[in-house]
Amino acid sequence: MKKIGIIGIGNPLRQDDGIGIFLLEKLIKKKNNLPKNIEYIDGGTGFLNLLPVLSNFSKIIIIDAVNFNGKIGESKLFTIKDIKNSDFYEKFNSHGTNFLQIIELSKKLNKKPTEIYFFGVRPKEISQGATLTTELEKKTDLILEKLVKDIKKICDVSK
Amino acid sequence: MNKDIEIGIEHVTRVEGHGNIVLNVKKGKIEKVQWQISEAPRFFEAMLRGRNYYELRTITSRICGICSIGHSLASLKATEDALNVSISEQTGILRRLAINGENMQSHILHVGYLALPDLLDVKSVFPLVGSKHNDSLLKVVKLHRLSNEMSDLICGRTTHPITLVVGGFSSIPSKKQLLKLKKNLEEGLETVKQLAQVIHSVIDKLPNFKRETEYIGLTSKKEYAFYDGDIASTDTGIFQKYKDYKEIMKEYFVPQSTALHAKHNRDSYMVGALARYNLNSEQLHKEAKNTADLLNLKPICYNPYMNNIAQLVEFVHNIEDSIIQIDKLIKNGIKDEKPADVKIKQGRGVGIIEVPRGILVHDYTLNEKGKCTKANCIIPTNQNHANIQKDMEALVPGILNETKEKIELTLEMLVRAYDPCISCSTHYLNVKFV
Repeated sequence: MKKIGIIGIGNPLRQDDGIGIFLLEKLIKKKNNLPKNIEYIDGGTGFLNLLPVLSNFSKIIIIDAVNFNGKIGESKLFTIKDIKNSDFYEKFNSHGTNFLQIIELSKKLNKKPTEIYFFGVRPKEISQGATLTTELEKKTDLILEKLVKDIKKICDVSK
Repeated sequence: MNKDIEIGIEHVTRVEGHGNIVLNVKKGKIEKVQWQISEAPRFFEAMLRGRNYYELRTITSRICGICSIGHSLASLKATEDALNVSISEQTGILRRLAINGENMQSHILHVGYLALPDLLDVKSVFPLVGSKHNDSLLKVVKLHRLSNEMSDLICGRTTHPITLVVGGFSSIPSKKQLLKLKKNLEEGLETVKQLAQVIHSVIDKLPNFKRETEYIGLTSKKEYAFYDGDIASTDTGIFQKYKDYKEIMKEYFVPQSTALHAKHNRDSYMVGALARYNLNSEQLHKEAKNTADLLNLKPICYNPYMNNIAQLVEFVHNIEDSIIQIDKLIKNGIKDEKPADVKIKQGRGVGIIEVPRGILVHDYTLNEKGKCTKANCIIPTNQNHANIQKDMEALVPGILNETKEKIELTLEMLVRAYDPCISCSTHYLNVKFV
């Protein structure tokens, strides 16, 4: 069975920006009920440091706070093809901007990962603060339930 | 020379965070040259207040995705200082390995992905893929992977470590794992020497600019200081009252910046790899000294662009030092130690270490319940902002005859040479679904 990487990214010191790390920690606690071929990675904000990590997996699932037209706490599973993004190629920062660049670089260098999923959660607030906002926190059980379903679906497809 | 130049570079690329360069020249006269920081300040110290002593490391490790090990270690040193906790020799060695791993990680990331494109005349690392420089890029990736594996083994994770705790380590690597790491480090040493040859072949792309300034960092009689040492200045020598670090690092605000600036004996000073090299070059290990010779780095070096070279030299030193530390651990016999006991008490503690971008201070006051009542963190990049500004002021008159593009590139390369970590925080992905 091919290994699948689940990467939580974000900064828990920026309130809802930490939702990726929050959910990753919850998943690790539930890992006995999830497929065994999953590796869990706390990507934090060290994006360039993830470059060698990405090349270990053909398939990755990134959990992150994502700004899309939805309600706070709404989650969406999407692929890299769904993302319309044109202005990231040359603005190459080591963190602070765009994780997509690192994925792009990994694909160019190592031909991996080939399948990239994003599990995005609509945050309320991403300014300073060491906890999730109450509005988002209330929805974390539901979000986690959907995330687990989505992971199982993705893992099933990969068999 | 009577020309007008207007440069307004917003968000210098290939640096961490947001900084702007502004240059206005009217009829050959410089009206404004400014290094501006536009990031919102982040108030980490406020987040620490009211937290238990054992939580401080976890919180501060999230300040930066690149220097998370460094912030963890400074935090632990400050906490242990406040609580009078002594660490074992083995913990000291493992922490030195942790700091070597992070320094290697950060330096190879900066030299290989962010600075190398300037030397190879491309705008970013992407065009190097599949080019005649592909092999050099693969060497960078290999060294990056080695640094990550080292951090993973010692700290439990590539970034945002988990095994570093107050008084020691929550998990200790096995002899087998350490011997495997040693073998990989030995291979890595050969790879980085090859990379140094590549950089040697393009080193004349680094501008030949010099400005005398003060260099500040840790120094120690025992070693090239990263984890322990006294604060030292190339102007005023050793300063042993570590808890009075504010006498050296005098922070102040300037109108064009949201970040604090700092000065000491002059109107600015520099911290980081070049500062450490200028203070401690004699204590580098053999291959690191050879690399410095190859790349024509000699103390005292007043060219800030050579910070990139000092980073590569330190990378070599960190590999050599890690091999020495692993040998020590194996010779001593690896013990399954538990972290030292902690007795909660009131007190103030200061932890000072060297992180990739320079000297870092964490200063905590704990109450009788072990909760933090006051915190102060002095970040290396803030200490460098004034020096970047002063360098720009000295550099610009000498390059006004160049094209606008060349002036822009020279100024951007200057900022990048400092490897500033302007903002080590959030990212935000905006997605429009089709």
